[in-house]
Amino acid sequence: MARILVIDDEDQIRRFLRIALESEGHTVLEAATGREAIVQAATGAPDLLVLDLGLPDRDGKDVLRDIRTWSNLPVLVLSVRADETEKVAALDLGAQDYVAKPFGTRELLARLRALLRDRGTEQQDISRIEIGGLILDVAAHSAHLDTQPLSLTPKEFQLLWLLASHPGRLVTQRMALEKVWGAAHVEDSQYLRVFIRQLRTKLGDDATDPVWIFTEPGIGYRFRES
Amino acid sequence: MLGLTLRRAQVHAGPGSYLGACLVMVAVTFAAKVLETALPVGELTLVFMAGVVVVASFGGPGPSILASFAGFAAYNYFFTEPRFTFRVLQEADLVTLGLFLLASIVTGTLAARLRTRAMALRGSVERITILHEFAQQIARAPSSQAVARAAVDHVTATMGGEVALFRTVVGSVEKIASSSAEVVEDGRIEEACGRAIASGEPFIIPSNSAVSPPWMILPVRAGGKTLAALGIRSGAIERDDRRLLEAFASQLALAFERTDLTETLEDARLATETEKLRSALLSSVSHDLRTPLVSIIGAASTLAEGGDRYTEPMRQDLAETIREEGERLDRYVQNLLDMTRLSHGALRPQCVASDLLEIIGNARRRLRSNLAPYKVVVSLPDSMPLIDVDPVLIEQLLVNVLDNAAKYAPENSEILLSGHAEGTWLKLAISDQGPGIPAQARSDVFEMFYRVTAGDTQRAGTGLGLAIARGIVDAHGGGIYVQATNPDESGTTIVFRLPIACQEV
Repeated sequence: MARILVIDDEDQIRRFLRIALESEGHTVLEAATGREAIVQAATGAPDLLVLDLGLPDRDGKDVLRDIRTWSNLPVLVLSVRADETEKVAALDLGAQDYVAKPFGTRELLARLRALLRDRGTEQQDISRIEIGGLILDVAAHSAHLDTQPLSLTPKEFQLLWLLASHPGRLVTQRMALEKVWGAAHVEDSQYLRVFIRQLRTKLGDDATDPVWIFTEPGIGYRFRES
Repeated sequence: MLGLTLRRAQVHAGPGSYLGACLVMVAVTFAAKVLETALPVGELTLVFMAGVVVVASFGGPGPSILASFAGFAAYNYFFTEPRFTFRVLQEADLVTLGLFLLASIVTGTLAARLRTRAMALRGSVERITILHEFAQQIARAPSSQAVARAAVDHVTATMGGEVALFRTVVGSVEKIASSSAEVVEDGRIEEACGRAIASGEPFIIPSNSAVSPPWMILPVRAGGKTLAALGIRSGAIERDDRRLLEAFASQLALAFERTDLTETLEDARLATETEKLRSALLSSVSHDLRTPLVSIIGAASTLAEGGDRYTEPMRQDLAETIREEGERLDRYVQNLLDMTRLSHGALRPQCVASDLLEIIGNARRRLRSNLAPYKVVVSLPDSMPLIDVDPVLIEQLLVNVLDNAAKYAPENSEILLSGHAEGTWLKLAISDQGPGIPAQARSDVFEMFYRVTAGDTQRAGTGLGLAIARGIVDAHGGGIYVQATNPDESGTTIVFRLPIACQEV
């Protein structure tokens, strides 16, 4: 279980987040302003930050920029749905994921779980992933879905591996393009769309009612959690 | 620009005409010299007479009198005995000379008067043509501003010089059009126009320098009211020009009367529309914003105060109600926000190549609980091209249309999404099996706060969803319409088409 710093100026929101997070066994730290947030992040030894972008004393993005100068703590951003540019800016500044307000606790807890899981797995090399009947083996470069082998091109395998190794977590277009196609192709989002389509076909995923790969419009993709 | 400029009649002869008269008479003298052998001397006066008539008809009265005397002198000098002197010996010659002078002055004057008449006539025909053209042009102008612009252009083109038009705008006199931007910096003109509008009298403002002509300010009057003032500064405004300007002014007054009337009507229409919209918004906010709140507060207080009296499934049910109604409220607020952005023109699609299927997937996910009682069928070809749209807006569009279907269609019925690419367009139809929309109301459903009363028995709609849908489609340069799903006119099908390649509009 983790220590989570909740940064939001709304008492009501902090209150229900505390209830929801503590019921999951987490320890909750709170900050209502950007200044408090910096202090708490530096002294409270949190494992993860939940950061609201609209703070009274300073822009949430500034707080994030500040924290990023000395820490790689996972950050989950709370943003208003309509504000696409804010969201993208926060992700570019090094936030790992976001939840659009208003959100349900189930959604929020799933995001947090994915981020905390990453914290555990990033250090140790994994060579095998198993999610909901899909088995990926990086050494053998093999993929099986419900014991049936999937024939994937190397790029398709790389992309699927990237998504599946971050279940439930946001994989931004930029991140996917950079990891699979290389830094020179970070703008070529058409590649990604074509390959996601092919992966969907091979996984039998209906884009209009997906169960494997979820789209975050204009931002990236999210793989199923379990 | 206009090709029409007023050609001024040369009423007063210049020095050129007098010189011309002399030259004509010299030529006539030579001609008489040549004809002398063939004609008796007495008849030669006719040759001179012809010369005088020619001069009169081209040069006017002054030159014709000069020509008469020149002819008289030349005839006397060259053709009467003794020749090459101005003395006259024979009485007959004296009579001939006298008669010649009299006749040539009279014919000359008559011919010159005829010419002046003809020119005046031509001038007035020209003025009538110009006035007609002016009337036509300002009649075509759709707004007061356009009338003013056309009037100034026309007057400048026909009269030359500088032209400015002033009107009273919200209590103060303002220049609404002028022939060039820097014209009328002079505050006196504005002031004089103000006085002309107030009094209905024309004014003349003497110019500052000797070289520039004065400004003439004419009131533009219709029905005892002065609607505007026309200022003009032109080289030489003559009496006829001034009459023409006055005719312009009365035409202009009629045009202003017309446009003012339509503008007042348009303002009144807009005001009623705004008023209607405001009351619709108020009733929508008070009703649609409050309905979910009633459920939320009710369910939450039941939960908070009920203690153990409620079973776990009951409490679960209440919590679900709170969530569902909260989500509904959220959608409504989103719609209000979108509507505000739409009406400010702030809704600019940020187009990226998008997969329509993924957008449909997201819209369905957002409406999970609303769509749960329905059988959602997606029938789209696998080869759907990527489409250049703003995925967030198109998702909102689909959410609104699907939400609408889920509101009115009976449970367990089918909601069908079908579509295909059509050339450079992508067409998508969303069909439900609800009561449908009466044919005569089909174009109104995209109006803000419009609701089909008959179909609105099940759940309160916000009356915004489809208006926003249309706003989003318009912002993408596409089109949207509604038709019946079934041949018996039941069911609603919303069809929209979007350009596959983004069109920033």
